Amino acid sequence: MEHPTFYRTTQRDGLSILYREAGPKDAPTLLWLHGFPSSSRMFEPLFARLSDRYHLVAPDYPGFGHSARPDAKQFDHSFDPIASVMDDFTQAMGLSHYTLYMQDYGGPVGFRMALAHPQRVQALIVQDTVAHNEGLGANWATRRAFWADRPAHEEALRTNLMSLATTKTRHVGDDPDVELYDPDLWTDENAFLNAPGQVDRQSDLFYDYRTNVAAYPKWQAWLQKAQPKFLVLWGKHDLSFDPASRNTTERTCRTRRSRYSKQDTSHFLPKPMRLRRWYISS
Amino acid sequence: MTKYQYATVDGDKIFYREAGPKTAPTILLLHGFPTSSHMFRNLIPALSDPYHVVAPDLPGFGFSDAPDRKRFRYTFEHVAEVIDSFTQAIGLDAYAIYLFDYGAPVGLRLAWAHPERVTALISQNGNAYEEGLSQSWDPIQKYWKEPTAENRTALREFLKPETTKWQYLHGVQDASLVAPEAYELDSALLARPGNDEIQLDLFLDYASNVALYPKFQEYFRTKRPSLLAVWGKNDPFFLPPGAEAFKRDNPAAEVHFYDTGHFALETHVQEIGSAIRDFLSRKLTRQSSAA
Repeated sequence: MEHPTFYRTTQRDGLSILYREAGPKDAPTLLWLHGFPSSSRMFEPLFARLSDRYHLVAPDYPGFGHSARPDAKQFDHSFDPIASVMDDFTQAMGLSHYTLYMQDYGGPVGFRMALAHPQRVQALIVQDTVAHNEGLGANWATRRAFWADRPAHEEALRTNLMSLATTKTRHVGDDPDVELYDPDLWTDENAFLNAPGQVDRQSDLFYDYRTNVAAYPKWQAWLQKAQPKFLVLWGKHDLSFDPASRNTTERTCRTRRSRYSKQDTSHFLPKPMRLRRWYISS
Repeated sequence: MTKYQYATVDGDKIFYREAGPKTAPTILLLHGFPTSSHMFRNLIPALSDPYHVVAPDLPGFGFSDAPDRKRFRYTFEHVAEVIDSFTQAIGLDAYAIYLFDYGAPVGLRLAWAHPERVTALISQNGNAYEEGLSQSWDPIQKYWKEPTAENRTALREFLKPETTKWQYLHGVQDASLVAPEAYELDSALLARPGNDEIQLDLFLDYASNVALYPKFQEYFRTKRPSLLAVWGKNDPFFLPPGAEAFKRDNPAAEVHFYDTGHFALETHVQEIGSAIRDFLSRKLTRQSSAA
C-alpha cells in the first residue's frame, strides 16, 4: 500500500492518545476532529481517498475511541481540557499549520483550538456541526432543559446516551438508503458507550456543551475578523441538528472565503464524498 | 461502493457485504473466527473494480442472526448448508471462494458438494492439512478427545478480548498497521449473551473438519481447482506447511507467504489484493476461453 494508515499511540498530559496517521508528512496537514460518540474511526473512508495528497492526522479525544478513559478525578470531562490536550498533541506531533476538519463535537474542540492559535489554521472545514444558536432546533429542547436543571434530567439523558436505537439513528438519519451504512459503525459505538464509566464521562461532557452555546458569538466574531477559508459540508439526512442548520450556518457563519455543499448522507459520512476535488488550503 | 444487506435463509437473516458489477465474475469471501465480513472491509474495494464481491457473515457471527442453540445446530456442516442456500437465494451460479480460517471448512464443503460452481479457490490461512495445525490447537483437540465440561470451560480462554487482540497482533511486524476497531468489534460481538456457548459448540465440531481433510485433498487431486494460497507465515494457528501441502495434491497451486500473522489482511491488503487480481485475471480468462 502506498500510503497505509498507521494506528499510533502517544502520551500527552499523562494520557495515552491514539491517532491515525497517513500520507506524506511533507504534504499539507489535515487535522480531523471527530464527533460523538465516535472516534477517529469515522474518518477511515476519507483517509483512503486523501492520503495520496495530504498528511492526515486524526486523534481520539480523551474518553473516546482508543485514547485513555480517565475518571472524573483525573480529568475534567469538558471541552476546554479536551481542546487543550488536542493542542498539546498537535505540538508534540510538530504540526505548525493545519486545516481543521470538524464534525459534531469536533466543532467546539476545533473552534477553541483555532481561537487559541489562529496563526496555525490554514482553512476550516465544518461538517454537521454548528456554531450558532439557531442551528440547535426543536430536538435540542430536552437538551437545553438538561443544561438548565441537570439533576431533574440526568436519568433521561443517560437512557438516551446508552440507547442503541439513538446510536444507529445518528448514522442513518432519515436516509432511505440504509444499505449504504455499515452496521459495525453503531455496534462499535454502542460497545464504547456501554463500557464501564462511559456514561458518567459522556454525561459530564454533554453537560459542558452549554459552554459551547455561550461561546458561539465569540466564534462568529472570530470568523468575521479572521476571514479563514471556510468549507461547510452538510448531510441532508442529518437528524441531529435542525434541518435548516446548513442554511442558517451560511447566513451566520459566512466568511468572504466560504463555500457550502449539501451531501447525500447523514450526520456522519459513510458515503464517499468528493472532498478531494474541493479546495483545501495548501 | 459496498452495500450492507440481508438475505433470509430458512427464516434466519444472513448479513452480507456486496460490491462490484453483478454481471462480473463473483468472488465469495468467507470469514473466520471470531470475526465477520468486517475483516474484508479493505479487500472489497481492492477487488470490486473488475469483480462482483459477496461477503456473508456466518450464522452466529457479525450481523447475521445468531439463532438459539436449541433450534439451530452449530456445526460446520449446517453452517455450510446455510451459506450454500444463501448463495442460491442471491442467485450465484458460479464463484471463486476466498477461504480464511473457519471459511475454509465451510467453503470446501460447498466446493465438494458443487465442484461445477467453483471457478477458483483462494486460501488465506485456510487450512486443509493436518500438518498445518499448530500446537495452539492442543486444548481444542483435547476437548475433541474428551468432551467434558472441564475441557469445554478451558476453551473460554479463546473468547476473551485479550486473546482476540493477541490473534490480531501475534506475528505482525508493525503493530501500528492493525486497526484497533477490528478486535474491538469482534469482542463486542463475542460478548453478546449466549454467543459464548455457540462458539464453544463450533470448537467441538471443528473435529469434523479435520476428519474431512482427506476428502478435501481428494477433491484437489481429482477436480484440480485453480488454487492460490496467500498465507501469513507467522499465524499461530495455521502453519506454512499447511500452505505448501496444497502443491502435493495440485502441483499447479500457487503459494505466496507474507511476513505477518493470522489476520494477514490487516497489514497486507494491497499485496494480497494484487496477488488475487493477478491470479484471477489469468485463471478466469483461461477457463472462459476454454468453455
